[in-house]
Parts: sequence; C-alpha cells; structure tokens
Amino acid sequence: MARRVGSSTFEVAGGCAVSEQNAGSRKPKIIVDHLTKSYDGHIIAVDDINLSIDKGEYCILFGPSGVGKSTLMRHINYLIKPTKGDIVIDGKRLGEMKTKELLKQRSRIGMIFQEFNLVNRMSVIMNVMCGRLHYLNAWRSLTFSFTRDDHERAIDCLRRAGLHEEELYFRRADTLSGGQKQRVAIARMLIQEPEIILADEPIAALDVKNQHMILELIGDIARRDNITIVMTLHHLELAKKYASRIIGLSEGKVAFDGPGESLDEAAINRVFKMEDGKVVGTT
Amino acid sequence: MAKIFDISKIDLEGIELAIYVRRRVRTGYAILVAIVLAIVFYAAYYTNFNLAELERGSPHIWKLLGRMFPPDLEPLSEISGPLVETLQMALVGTTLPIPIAMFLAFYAATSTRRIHWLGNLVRVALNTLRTIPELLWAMILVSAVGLGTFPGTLALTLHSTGSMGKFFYETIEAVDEGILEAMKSTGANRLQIFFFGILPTILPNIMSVVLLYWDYNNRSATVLGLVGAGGIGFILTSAIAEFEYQQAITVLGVIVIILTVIDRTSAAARSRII
Ligand SMILES: Nc1ncnc2c1ncn2[C@@H]1O[C@H](COP(=O)(O)OP(=O)(O)OP(=O)(O)O)[C@@H](O)[C@H]1O
Ligand SMILES: [Mg+2]
Repeated sequence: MARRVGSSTFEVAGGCAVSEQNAGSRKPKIIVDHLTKSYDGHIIAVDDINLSIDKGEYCILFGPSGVGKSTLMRHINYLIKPTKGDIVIDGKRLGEMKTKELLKQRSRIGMIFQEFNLVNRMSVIMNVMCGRLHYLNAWRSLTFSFTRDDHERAIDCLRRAGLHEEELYFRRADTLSGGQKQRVAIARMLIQEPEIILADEPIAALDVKNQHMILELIGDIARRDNITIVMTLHHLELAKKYASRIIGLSEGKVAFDGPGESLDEAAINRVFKMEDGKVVGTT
Repeated sequence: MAKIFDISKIDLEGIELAIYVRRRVRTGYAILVAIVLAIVFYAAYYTNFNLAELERGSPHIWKLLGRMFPPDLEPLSEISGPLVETLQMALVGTTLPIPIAMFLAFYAATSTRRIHWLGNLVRVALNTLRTIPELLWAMILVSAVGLGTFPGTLALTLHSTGSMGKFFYETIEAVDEGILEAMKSTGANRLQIFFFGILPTILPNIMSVVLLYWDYNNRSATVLGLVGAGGIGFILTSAIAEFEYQQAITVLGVIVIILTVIDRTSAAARSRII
C-alpha cells in the first residue's frame, strides 16, 4: 500500500479547525486529515475536509444528494482510498498501514447499509458469522466451517439485535422482512465488537416504525460500549433527536458542524444552498 | 443510440423535439434492418443457397435415405466401448475446466482482480481458448499428441475453459457491489470475500452453465472422432466412408437417443436450480 500524499506530521492533523473542542489529554478517535477524493481526476467528491471525532460521539452527516457523504464515510474504513490526505484512527494513519494491519483495523469498524447487503442465499446465522471472517483461518474459510465459539457469539448478537425467534436463524437471508434484515446486518456488525460504527442511510429502506426502532437499537448499542458512530441520514428531525453532533456537507466541504440544537433553518439553508425555500427533512 | 445525433443542435422544442427524435430513431432502425437483410441475401446468393437446387437434389437425398434402410444392427455389438468413451470425454472435459475457469475468472473479473494488466491478459487468453472451436483444437492436438481420446478430452477442456471462464468472470462482476463492501468492511481478505460473498451468490448460475456445457460437450464429443480424437464419431465416419449406410443409420440412431436423454436431463436439472 502506497503512502498517501498529504500532511505528513501528526501535529498538522491534530491542529485542524475542530481540535480546540478536545483540547487537553483526550485523544480523538477519528481524524479526517485534509481528505480529498476526486474521481477520474475532475469530479471532486470530497474537497479537503478536516474533522476530529471523539470516542463515543454520535455523528450524523447530512447534505444534498451526491455531495460526498457516502464517499467520506467509506474513507474511514478505507473501502475508498483518498486522492490526498488521510484518515487517522487512534493516532494511526490508515495510509501507512500494510494490508494485514488494515484488515485488522477494518475488523474493528462495523458497517451497515441502506440495502442491508446480506448474502441472500446464505442462512441468517452464516451471514452474522461473516462478521468473524477476520479471525477465521484459511482452512476453515475454505471449508466454510466456523467455530463453536463463533456460533455462540452469533446467537448472542442476534438476540442483542432483537431477533429472538430461533426459527429465523437458519432461514435464508432473503426470506426476511426489511426490518429483520437490518437487524441481521446489525448483528453481523455487533459480532465484530466494533469500536466504530459506520451507517450509510441505515433506515432509508424501512417503514416509520422500524426506522425508530433501528435508530434506538444502534443508539443503545453505542451507549453501552461507548462506540463512536458516523452515520448518514436524510431525516433531519431524526438526526436532531439521536445525534450528539451533526455535520452538514455542501459541495464536498463542511458547511455546518455542531450539536443538534444549533441546527437551525439558516444552517440548513446554507447546507442545501436554498435562499428562503421550503425546508424539508428529506431531499 | 445515445450519441448518433446531437439534440442541442436541433432547432425544436418540447413535444416537437420528442416527436422528431422518435422519428429519427425509427428511421435509424429501418435502415439497420434493411442493411442486415441485404447482407443475408448477398450471403445466400454467394453460398449457392437456393431452393431450386434443393429440389433438384431431393431425389438423391431420397435415394440415400432408401439405402439406409433397413438399419443393420451389427454395429450395436461394438458400439458400447466408443460410446462410453464419448461420455467419459464429455464428463472430464466439463468438470476439469470448472476449477481452472474459476481460478482464472478470479483474476479476470474487475471486482476481484488486483493487477489490472494481468486481468486483461487472462481475458485475452480465455477469449482465445473460446474462439477456437473444439474440432479445430482436436485437429491441432491430434497432430501434436497423436490419435485417441486424450487430445479429444483436451480439446473439450480448452474450449470449455475459455467459455466457462468468460461466463464466470461476467457473473462475478454482476455480484452486487454492496455485498462485496459489506464483506470487505468486516476485515475479510480477498479469498474470504470470494468464498463467502461471491460464491454463494453465483452458485446457481455456475451450476446451470456447467450443465449446459455438459450437454454441449456430449454433442461435441460425438463429432471429435471425425478428426481421430476418439469416441463414437469414428465409427460413424468409417461406416459412411465404407458406404455402409445401413450401419451408419444405426450408429446415428444411438447417438440421437443418447444425446436426447442427456439434453432432457440437463434441462430438467437446470430448471430445478433456477
Ligand atoms: N465510483 C465512482 N466513480 C465516479 N464518481 C463517483 C463514484 N462514486 C461516487 N461518485 C461521485 O461522487 C459524488 C459523491 O457521491 P456520494 O455517493 O458520496 O454522495 P452522497 O452524498 O452519499 O449522496 P446520496 O445522498 O445520494 O447518497 C457524486 O457526484 C458521485 O457521482
Ligand atoms: Mg450516499
């Protein structure tokens, strides 16, 4: 893995705009350090973004469609590699990690998605155990045999994710309802024992009741183990309710950054580039 | 038909523009059909395909058919060996390519490959294997390694590896990007992503295509004997070459029956998978 261009010293990273909030001994969990991503050399999806996120923060990213929320989020576990700048987690630069270290780092970052992204033809419990792949040796991988311990953990995580009917565990994943699928995805993320949770529109494909239940669930999980959350969400009302910090992106840059209460109409208009137009919770 | 003409250069608006564009596209299709038809007629003319010729030749065809009856059942006693040989060639020529094609597809598919140029190289290799018909492979291999079932099996293997490989990498590429992301984000390595994310997803497609090629290879294996690459085809050719038409029709009958059974089996199995 090549070393990425960008500021080379940690001081520069720590010295970004947000860092005054966490002065003192507390070290930030995630630092987004002059992060720039351009596709094909000209579409700039993320434009020189600096952020510092503390352990246990519940961050929600919002902004118009195509502004680069998903792109920014996928840098945190290096599903996407930056064009410039880097991500620093617990003081370690992802760009400087070898493949093996990076996989280890990824195994501690759980991720859930709008479309759940379960393997449809696999059973629920197998899907959950996929969260343990990082610990599965080559032979067991080739023979699809997870350990007894993996099975126990999987069942424990399914229960924590709110799936108690054991009949469900051995069904194929594509036979579940949307809400159940997202719970399975949450169990797959839980089994990773994550320190960071990334969630890209986790409730966009769910009905109103399930939306609340899933957000509650993620919040409870995060609070219990002091997990850091970075989530994208189009519903600003829900964002205000659950987030400890809201970050608005506009044209690849940070246009708003603060607690939910300070997100007023003027700020929303600024992010969505609206004059005095109607403000809606979703785009 | 995206870039055929530039909408911004047309001095029309709204519904007028829409109707104009529609008409242009329709005219385009009409011209295309006319061109294709012209080429087909041209080709038919130059290959002397005409129905009058067929009519003139038909008495000869009837005469030939007459000489095939009644069938001479004598070949039945010696047919079983080459028949089993044919089936075996097809079986090996279908199963051996599966792991090879899968391995190559892993390096060729854009979603799993890591080295760009190597992927392209594998694609070119697979395409070459596929483009050369198995009969041609058999001819080449017979002159290289001699007569028998070995060059025949090898010919089927090479052609099937190319065809299956291409199909496999296209199927791998069609796997939802989201599933790969989800697997990757757990810290799984490339092989694990392949085994747990991709393989279960594409398995039905793979089984279906393998059954299709099994059927196809059985048909191919029957003609490989024409070039001396083993199997039942050899008995058929020698019967025809010796003007033993009554024996030829018996062999042909057996081939048709066997291939029909295989065709039905393969189709039934595939309909169950999908
Ligand atoms: N693989 C890619 N190749 C080229 N451009 C891309 C790619 N992925 C994203 N982009 C572009 O980058 C920009 C940001 O995309 P991104 O998906 O991050 O937006 P988003 O804020 O998540 O939008 P949404 O709210 O609709 O999910 C878009 O203009 C998009 O077209
Ligand atoms: Mg997005």
